[in-house]
Amino acid sequence: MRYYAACLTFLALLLCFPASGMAHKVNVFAYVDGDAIQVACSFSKSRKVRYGKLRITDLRTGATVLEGTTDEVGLFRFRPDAAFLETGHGLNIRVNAGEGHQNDWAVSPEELAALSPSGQRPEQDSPAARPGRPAPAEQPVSSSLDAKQLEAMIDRVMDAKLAPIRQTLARQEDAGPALRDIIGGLGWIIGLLGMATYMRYRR
Amino acid sequence: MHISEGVLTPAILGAGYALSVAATCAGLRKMDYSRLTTAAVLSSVFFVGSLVHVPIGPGSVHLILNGLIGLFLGWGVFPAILVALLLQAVLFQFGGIAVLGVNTFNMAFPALLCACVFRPFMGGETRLRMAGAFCCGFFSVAGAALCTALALAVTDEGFLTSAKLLLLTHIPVMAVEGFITALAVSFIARSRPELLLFSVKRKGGAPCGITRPA
Repeated sequence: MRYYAACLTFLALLLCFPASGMAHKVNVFAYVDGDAIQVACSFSKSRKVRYGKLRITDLRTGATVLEGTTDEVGLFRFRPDAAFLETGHGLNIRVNAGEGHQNDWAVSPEELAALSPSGQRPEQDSPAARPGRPAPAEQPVSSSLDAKQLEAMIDRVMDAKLAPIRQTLARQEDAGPALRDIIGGLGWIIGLLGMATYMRYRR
Repeated sequence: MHISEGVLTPAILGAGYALSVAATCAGLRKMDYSRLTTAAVLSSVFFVGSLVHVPIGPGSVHLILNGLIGLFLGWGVFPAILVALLLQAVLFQFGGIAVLGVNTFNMAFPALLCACVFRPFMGGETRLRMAGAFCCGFFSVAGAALCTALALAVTDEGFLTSAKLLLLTHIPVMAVEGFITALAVSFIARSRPELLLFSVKRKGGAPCGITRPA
Protein backbone atom coordinates (compact mmCIF):
# COMPACT_ATOMS: atom_id res chain seq x y z
CA MET A 1 0.00 0.00 0.00
CA ARG A 2 2.80 2.36 0.95
CA TYR A 3 4.50 1.40 -2.32
CA TYR A 4 1.47 2.42 -4.34
CA ALA A 5 1.15 5.67 -2.45
CA ALA A 6 4.79 6.44 -3.23
CA CYS A 7 4.31 5.56 -6.88
CA LEU A 8 1.19 7.68 -7.20
CA THR A 9 2.88 10.61 -5.52
CA PHE A 10 5.80 10.32 -7.92
CA LEU A 11 3.46 10.27 -10.90
CA ALA A 12 1.44 13.16 -9.57
CA LEU A 13 4.63 15.18 -9.10
CA LEU A 14 5.69 14.31 -12.61
CA LEU A 15 2.43 15.53 -14.06
CA CYS A 16 2.56 18.71 -12.02
CA PHE A 17 5.86 19.84 -13.52
CA PRO A 18 5.37 22.78 -15.80
CA ALA A 19 5.84 21.97 -19.43
CA SER A 20 9.14 23.75 -19.85
CA GLY A 21 9.60 22.71 -23.41
CA MET A 22 8.63 20.35 -26.15
CA ALA A 23 10.76 18.13 -28.21
CA HIS A 24 8.43 17.18 -30.98
CA LYS A 25 7.94 20.27 -33.03
CA VAL A 26 10.14 23.18 -33.94
CA ASN A 27 8.76 26.58 -34.91
CA VAL A 28 10.33 29.16 -37.13
CA PHE A 29 9.10 32.69 -37.66
CA ALA A 30 10.71 35.38 -39.79
CA TYR A 31 9.88 38.95 -40.67
CA VAL A 32 11.42 41.98 -42.25
CA ASP A 33 12.69 44.15 -39.44
CA GLY A 34 14.32 47.43 -40.34
CA ASP A 35 16.84 46.73 -43.05
CA ALA A 36 17.25 43.02 -42.37
CA ILE A 37 15.28 39.85 -41.83
CA GLN A 38 14.83 38.64 -38.29
CA VAL A 39 14.42 34.88 -37.78
CA ALA A 40 13.20 33.44 -34.48
CA CYS A 41 13.27 29.68 -33.82
CA SER A 42 11.78 27.93 -30.83
CA PHE A 43 10.48 24.59 -29.61
CA SER A 44 7.93 26.31 -27.40
CA LYS A 45 7.33 29.65 -25.76
CA SER A 46 10.13 29.22 -23.27
CA ARG A 47 12.54 26.95 -25.07
CA LYS A 48 14.47 28.47 -27.92
CA VAL A 49 16.49 26.67 -30.56
CA ARG A 50 20.09 27.32 -29.55
CA TYR A 51 22.62 27.02 -32.36
CA GLY A 52 20.09 25.53 -34.77
CA LYS A 53 21.24 25.24 -38.36
CA LEU A 54 19.53 27.57 -40.78
CA ARG A 55 19.47 27.30 -44.53
CA ILE A 56 18.01 30.14 -46.49
CA THR A 57 17.04 29.35 -50.06
CA ASP A 58 15.42 31.07 -53.00
CA LEU A 59 11.70 30.33 -52.78
CA ARG A 60 11.41 29.94 -56.54
CA THR A 61 14.64 28.26 -57.67
CA GLY A 62 15.64 26.49 -54.46
CA ALA A 63 19.22 27.78 -54.71
CA THR A 64 20.95 28.32 -51.38
CA VAL A 65 21.27 32.01 -50.56
CA LEU A 66 22.79 31.79 -47.13
CA GLU A 67 23.51 29.36 -44.32
CA GLY A 68 23.71 30.29 -40.69
CA THR A 69 23.23 29.30 -37.08
CA THR A 70 20.85 30.73 -34.53
CA ASP A 71 22.30 32.37 -31.43
CA GLU A 72 21.74 31.45 -27.77
CA VAL A 73 18.17 32.77 -27.77
CA GLY A 74 17.16 31.25 -31.09
CA LEU A 75 17.53 34.42 -33.14
CA PHE A 76 19.27 35.05 -36.43
CA ARG A 77 19.47 38.29 -38.36
CA PHE A 78 20.57 38.67 -41.92
CA ARG A 79 20.28 40.85 -44.95
CA PRO A 80 20.09 39.17 -48.34
CA ASP A 81 22.62 40.57 -50.82
CA ALA A 82 21.57 43.13 -53.38
CA ALA A 83 21.97 40.72 -56.28
CA PHE A 84 19.33 38.45 -54.78
CA LEU A 85 16.96 41.27 -53.97
CA GLU A 86 17.15 42.38 -57.59
CA THR A 87 15.63 39.07 -58.71
CA GLY A 88 12.40 39.78 -56.85
CA HIS A 89 12.12 36.21 -55.58
CA GLY A 90 10.95 35.18 -52.10
CA LEU A 91 12.97 33.36 -49.49
CA ASN A 92 12.48 30.04 -47.78
CA ILE A 93 13.98 29.73 -44.31
CA ARG A 94 14.54 26.21 -43.05
CA VAL A 95 15.63 25.48 -39.52
CA ASN A 96 17.14 22.12 -38.63
CA ALA A 97 17.19 21.73 -34.86
CA GLY A 98 18.66 18.22 -34.91
CA GLU A 99 17.06 14.89 -33.97
CA GLY A 100 14.95 15.11 -37.09
CA HIS A 101 13.23 18.35 -36.12
CA GLN A 102 12.85 20.71 -39.02
CA ASN A 103 10.48 23.41 -40.17
CA ASP A 104 10.18 26.02 -42.90
CA TRP A 105 9.03 29.58 -43.17
CA ALA A 106 8.48 31.44 -46.41
CA VAL A 107 9.17 35.16 -46.80
CA SER A 108 7.16 36.44 -49.75
CA PRO A 109 8.62 38.71 -52.46
CA GLU A 110 6.20 41.44 -51.33
CA GLU A 111 7.75 41.45 -47.87
CA LEU A 112 11.25 41.54 -49.33
CA ALA A 113 10.38 44.50 -51.52
CA ALA A 114 10.91 46.70 -48.49
CA LEU A 115 14.57 45.68 -48.50
CA SER A 116 15.25 46.22 -52.18
CA PRO A 117 18.08 48.66 -52.99
CA SER A 118 15.71 51.19 -54.49
CA GLY A 119 14.02 51.56 -51.14
CA GLN A 120 17.25 51.57 -49.17
CA ARG A 121 17.42 54.02 -46.37
CA PRO A 122 20.29 56.21 -45.35
CA GLU A 123 20.77 54.58 -41.92
CA GLN A 124 22.20 51.08 -42.00
CA ASP A 125 20.59 49.85 -38.84
CA SER A 126 17.67 51.18 -36.89
CA PRO A 127 17.74 49.92 -33.32
CA ALA A 128 14.26 51.25 -32.69
CA ALA A 129 12.89 48.72 -35.12
CA ARG A 130 13.92 45.77 -33.02
CA PRO A 131 11.26 44.62 -30.63
CA GLY A 132 11.88 44.98 -26.95
CA ARG A 133 14.34 47.85 -27.18
CA PRO A 134 13.64 51.36 -26.04
CA ALA A 135 13.16 53.86 -28.81
CA PRO A 136 15.98 56.38 -29.10
CA ALA A 137 15.42 60.01 -28.39
CA GLU A 138 13.39 61.63 -31.08
CA GLN A 139 15.29 63.46 -33.71
CA PRO A 140 14.39 67.05 -34.27
CA VAL A 141 11.89 67.28 -37.07
CA SER A 142 12.80 69.95 -39.50
CA SER A 143 10.76 71.14 -42.40
CA SER A 144 13.60 70.37 -44.78
CA LEU A 145 13.05 66.60 -44.76
CA ASP A 146 13.58 64.99 -48.07
CA ALA A 147 11.50 62.07 -49.27
CA LYS A 148 14.05 59.41 -48.25
CA GLN A 149 14.41 60.68 -44.71
CA LEU A 150 10.66 60.84 -44.34
CA GLU A 151 10.30 57.32 -45.63
CA ALA A 152 12.94 56.11 -43.21
CA MET A 153 11.17 57.75 -40.32
CA ILE A 154 7.81 56.29 -41.25
CA ASP A 155 9.41 52.88 -41.60
CA ARG A 156 10.97 53.16 -38.18
CA VAL A 157 7.75 54.20 -36.53
CA MET A 158 5.80 51.49 -38.31
CA ASP A 159 8.35 48.85 -37.30
CA ALA A 160 8.10 49.90 -33.67
CA LYS A 161 4.30 49.87 -33.83
CA LEU A 162 4.17 46.52 -35.57
CA ALA A 163 6.65 44.80 -33.25
CA PRO A 164 4.01 43.68 -30.72
CA ILE A 165 1.82 42.35 -33.52
CA ARG A 166 4.76 40.37 -34.91
CA GLN A 167 5.46 38.98 -31.48
CA THR A 168 1.82 37.96 -31.14
CA LEU A 169 2.02 36.20 -34.48
CA ALA A 170 5.21 34.44 -33.43
CA ARG A 171 3.53 33.34 -30.21
CA GLN A 172 0.62 31.93 -32.18
CA GLU A 173 3.10 29.88 -34.19
CA ASP A 174 4.44 28.56 -30.89
CA ALA A 175 1.06 27.63 -29.43
CA GLY A 176 0.93 24.01 -28.29
CA PRO A 177 -1.99 21.65 -28.79
CA ALA A 178 -5.32 23.04 -27.69
CA LEU A 179 -7.63 21.18 -25.35
CA ARG A 180 -10.22 20.78 -28.09
CA ASP A 181 -7.62 19.01 -30.26
CA ILE A 182 -6.79 16.60 -27.46
CA ILE A 183 -10.43 15.82 -26.77
CA GLY A 184 -11.12 15.59 -30.49
CA GLY A 185 -8.33 13.06 -30.92
CA LEU A 186 -9.63 10.93 -28.07
CA GLY A 187 -13.07 11.10 -29.66
CA TRP A 188 -11.62 9.83 -32.92
CA ILE A 189 -10.06 6.84 -31.19
CA ILE A 190 -13.35 6.00 -29.47
CA GLY A 191 -15.09 6.37 -32.82
CA LEU A 192 -12.66 3.97 -34.47
CA LEU A 193 -13.19 1.51 -31.63
CA GLY A 194 -16.94 1.76 -32.19
CA MET A 195 -16.50 1.17 -35.90
CA ALA A 196 -14.28 -1.86 -35.35
CA THR A 197 -16.75 -3.32 -32.87
CA TYR A 198 -19.60 -2.75 -35.32
CA MET A 199 -17.71 -4.46 -38.13
CA ARG A 200 -16.93 -7.33 -35.80
CA TYR A 201 -20.51 -7.97 -34.72
CA ARG A 202 -22.07 -7.42 -38.12
CA ARG A 203 -20.35 -10.54 -39.42
CA MET B 1 11.27 11.68 -31.32
CA HIS B 2 8.84 12.64 -34.05
CA ILE B 3 10.84 13.14 -37.22
CA SER B 4 9.60 16.22 -39.09
CA GLU B 5 8.50 16.43 -42.71
CA GLY B 6 11.17 17.04 -45.31
CA VAL B 7 14.09 15.61 -43.35
CA LEU B 8 14.17 12.14 -44.85
CA THR B 9 14.65 10.96 -48.42
CA PRO B 10 11.69 9.51 -50.37
CA ALA B 11 13.31 6.06 -50.33
CA ILE B 12 13.29 5.94 -46.53
CA LEU B 13 9.78 7.39 -46.33
CA GLY B 14 8.58 4.71 -48.75
CA ALA B 15 10.34 1.93 -46.86
CA GLY B 16 8.84 3.20 -43.61
CA TYR B 17 5.35 3.17 -45.08
CA ALA B 18 5.80 -0.30 -46.62
CA LEU B 19 7.01 -1.82 -43.34
CA SER B 20 4.41 -0.05 -41.23
CA VAL B 21 1.49 -0.90 -43.48
CA ALA B 22 2.53 -4.56 -43.68
CA ALA B 23 3.00 -4.77 -39.92
CA THR B 24 -0.30 -2.94 -39.30
CA CYS B 25 -2.14 -5.44 -41.49
CA ALA B 26 -0.45 -8.29 -39.64
CA GLY B 27 -1.33 -6.61 -36.35
CA LEU B 28 -5.00 -6.23 -37.28
CA ARG B 29 -5.16 -9.85 -38.38
CA LYS B 30 -3.39 -11.22 -35.32
CA MET B 31 -5.03 -9.05 -32.73
CA ASP B 32 -7.50 -10.70 -30.45
CA TYR B 33 -10.87 -8.95 -30.71
CA SER B 34 -11.29 -9.16 -26.96
CA ARG B 35 -8.32 -6.76 -26.77
CA LEU B 36 -9.91 -4.15 -29.00
CA THR B 37 -10.87 -1.92 -26.10
CA THR B 38 -7.41 -2.33 -24.57
CA ALA B 39 -5.94 -1.29 -27.91
CA ALA B 40 -8.14 1.82 -28.05
CA VAL B 41 -7.28 2.78 -24.48
CA LEU B 42 -3.56 2.29 -25.07
CA SER B 43 -3.75 4.20 -28.34
CA SER B 44 -5.33 7.08 -26.40
CA VAL B 45 -2.57 6.82 -23.81
CA PHE B 46 0.08 7.12 -26.52
CA PHE B 47 -1.79 10.01 -28.12
CA VAL B 48 -1.96 11.96 -24.86
CA GLY B 49 1.35 10.69 -23.46
CA SER B 50 3.31 12.92 -25.78
CA LEU B 51 1.87 15.91 -23.92
CA VAL B 52 3.21 14.74 -20.56
CA HIS B 53 6.61 16.31 -20.13
CA VAL B 54 9.51 14.90 -18.20
CA PRO B 55 11.69 17.82 -17.22
CA ILE B 56 15.40 17.30 -17.87
CA GLY B 57 17.84 20.11 -17.27
CA PRO B 58 16.85 23.18 -19.24
CA GLY B 59 14.39 21.37 -21.50
CA SER B 60 12.13 18.38 -21.31
CA VAL B 61 11.16 15.31 -23.23
CA HIS B 62 7.78 13.65 -23.39
CA LEU B 63 6.49 10.22 -22.52
CA ILE B 64 6.24 7.65 -25.28
CA LEU B 65 4.93 4.53 -23.52
CA ASN B 66 5.47 2.31 -26.55
CA GLY B 67 6.83 -0.48 -24.31
CA LEU B 68 3.60 -0.60 -22.32
CA ILE B 69 1.52 -0.80 -25.51
CA GLY B 70 3.75 -3.47 -27.02
CA LEU B 71 3.61 -5.56 -23.88
CA PHE B 72 -0.18 -5.66 -23.85
CA LEU B 73 -0.93 -5.72 -27.57
CA GLY B 74 1.94 -7.60 -29.22
CA TRP B 75 1.53 -7.08 -32.98
CA GLY B 76 -1.42 -4.84 -32.21
CA VAL B 77 1.10 -2.16 -31.23
CA PHE B 78 1.37 -1.20 -34.92
CA PRO B 79 -2.30 -0.25 -35.55
CA ALA B 80 -2.54 1.38 -32.09
CA ILE B 81 0.52 3.59 -32.63
CA LEU B 82 -0.35 4.31 -36.26
CA VAL B 83 -3.74 5.72 -35.26
CA ALA B 84 -2.27 7.76 -32.41
CA LEU B 85 0.54 9.18 -34.56
CA LEU B 86 -1.86 9.98 -37.39
CA LEU B 87 -4.04 11.97 -34.99
CA GLN B 88 -0.98 13.70 -33.51
CA ALA B 89 0.19 14.64 -37.01
CA VAL B 90 -3.21 15.97 -38.05
CA LEU B 91 -4.25 17.68 -34.82
CA PHE B 92 -0.96 18.71 -33.17
CA GLN B 93 1.30 18.95 -36.24
CA PHE B 94 3.83 16.65 -34.57
CA GLY B 95 5.71 14.72 -37.22
CA GLY B 96 3.75 14.67 -40.45
CA ILE B 97 1.76 12.58 -42.89
CA ALA B 98 4.63 11.75 -45.25
CA VAL B 99 6.85 10.65 -42.41
CA LEU B 100 4.07 8.77 -40.59
CA GLY B 101 5.25 5.37 -41.80
CA VAL B 102 8.79 5.87 -40.54
CA ASN B 103 7.64 7.29 -37.21
CA THR B 104 5.20 4.42 -36.68
CA PHE B 105 7.88 1.86 -37.41
CA ASN B 106 10.41 3.59 -35.14
CA MET B 107 8.04 3.51 -32.20
CA ALA B 108 6.26 0.20 -32.75
CA PHE B 109 9.02 -2.12 -33.92
CA PRO B 110 11.22 -1.91 -30.80
CA ALA B 111 8.09 -2.28 -28.68
CA LEU B 112 7.18 -5.45 -30.54
CA LEU B 113 10.70 -6.86 -30.11
CA CYS B 114 10.70 -6.04 -26.40
CA ALA B 115 7.29 -7.65 -26.03
CA CYS B 116 8.67 -10.83 -27.61
CA VAL B 117 11.58 -10.86 -25.19
CA PHE B 118 9.84 -9.81 -21.99
CA ARG B 119 6.34 -11.28 -22.27
CA PRO B 120 7.43 -14.68 -20.91
CA PHE B 121 8.35 -12.94 -17.64
CA MET B 122 4.77 -11.77 -17.15
CA GLY B 123 3.62 -15.19 -16.00
CA GLY B 124 6.44 -15.59 -13.51
CA GLU B 125 6.79 -14.50 -9.93
CA THR B 126 6.14 -10.89 -8.96
CA ARG B 127 9.74 -9.72 -8.82
CA LEU B 128 10.57 -11.22 -12.18
CA ARG B 129 7.41 -9.75 -13.66
CA MET B 130 8.25 -6.28 -12.38
CA ALA B 131 11.80 -6.54 -13.69
CA GLY B 132 10.53 -7.72 -17.07
CA ALA B 133 8.01 -4.90 -17.29
CA PHE B 134 10.64 -2.32 -16.32
CA CYS B 135 13.05 -3.64 -18.95
CA CYS B 136 10.29 -3.69 -21.57
CA GLY B 137 9.51 -0.02 -20.99
CA PHE B 138 13.19 0.89 -20.75
CA PHE B 139 14.45 -0.88 -23.85
CA SER B 140 11.48 0.03 -26.03
CA VAL B 141 12.42 3.69 -25.71
CA ALA B 142 16.10 2.89 -26.27
CA GLY B 143 15.14 0.91 -29.36
CA ALA B 144 12.95 3.76 -30.60
CA ALA B 145 15.92 6.14 -30.19
CA LEU B 146 18.14 3.77 -32.16
CA CYS B 147 15.54 3.32 -34.93
CA THR B 148 15.11 7.08 -35.18
CA ALA B 149 18.88 7.51 -35.41
CA LEU B 150 18.97 4.82 -38.09
CA ALA B 151 16.34 6.68 -40.11
CA LEU B 152 18.42 9.86 -39.71
CA ALA B 153 21.62 8.06 -40.75
CA VAL B 154 21.44 9.29 -44.33
CA THR B 155 20.79 12.92 -43.38
CA ASP B 156 23.77 15.19 -42.79
CA GLU B 157 23.44 14.55 -39.06
CA GLY B 158 24.62 10.96 -39.40
CA PHE B 159 23.82 7.87 -37.38
CA LEU B 160 26.36 8.11 -34.58
CA THR B 161 25.69 11.74 -33.71
CA SER B 162 21.91 11.30 -33.71
CA ALA B 163 22.08 8.01 -31.81
CA LYS B 164 24.33 9.49 -29.12
CA LEU B 165 22.18 12.59 -28.75
CA LEU B 166 18.87 10.72 -28.76
CA LEU B 167 20.00 8.03 -26.33
CA LEU B 168 21.55 10.54 -23.94
CA THR B 169 18.55 12.84 -23.83
CA HIS B 170 16.17 9.91 -23.45
CA ILE B 171 17.90 8.10 -20.58
CA PRO B 172 15.58 9.72 -18.00
CA VAL B 173 12.57 8.90 -20.19
CA MET B 174 13.70 5.30 -20.38
CA ALA B 175 13.87 5.10 -16.59
CA VAL B 176 10.51 6.82 -16.15
CA GLU B 177 8.86 4.63 -18.77
CA GLY B 178 10.32 1.48 -17.25
CA PHE B 179 8.92 2.57 -13.92
CA ILE B 180 5.50 3.40 -15.35
CA THR B 181 5.34 0.12 -17.28
CA ALA B 182 6.23 -1.82 -14.12
CA LEU B 183 3.63 0.13 -12.16
CA ALA B 184 0.95 -0.53 -14.76
CA VAL B 185 1.78 -4.22 -14.94
CA SER B 186 1.74 -4.64 -11.16
CA PHE B 187 -1.61 -2.88 -11.03
CA ILE B 188 -3.06 -4.99 -13.84
CA ALA B 189 -1.69 -8.17 -12.23
CA ARG B 190 -3.79 -7.41 -9.16
CA SER B 191 -6.91 -5.96 -10.72
CA ARG B 192 -7.26 -7.69 -14.11
CA PRO B 193 -4.78 -10.58 -14.17
CA GLU B 194 -6.46 -12.09 -17.22
CA LEU B 195 -4.96 -9.28 -19.31
CA LEU B 196 -1.51 -10.69 -18.57
CA LEU B 197 -2.42 -14.22 -19.53
CA PHE B 198 -0.97 -14.20 -23.04
CA SER B 199 2.31 -15.80 -22.10
CA VAL B 200 1.00 -18.31 -19.60
CA LYS B 201 -1.98 -19.54 -21.56
CA ARG B 202 -0.15 -19.94 -24.82
CA LYS B 203 3.34 -20.70 -23.67
CA GLY B 204 3.79 -24.10 -25.19
CA GLY B 205 0.87 -24.22 -27.58
CA ALA B 206 -0.34 -21.93 -30.30
CA PRO B 207 1.80 -18.93 -31.15
CA CYS B 208 0.83 -15.98 -29.03
CA GLY B 209 1.09 -13.68 -32.00
CA ILE B 210 4.36 -12.17 -30.97
CA THR B 211 6.78 -15.00 -31.48
CA ARG B 212 7.85 -13.92 -34.94
CA PRO B 213 9.74 -10.65 -35.17
CA ALA B 214 8.94 -8.64 -38.29
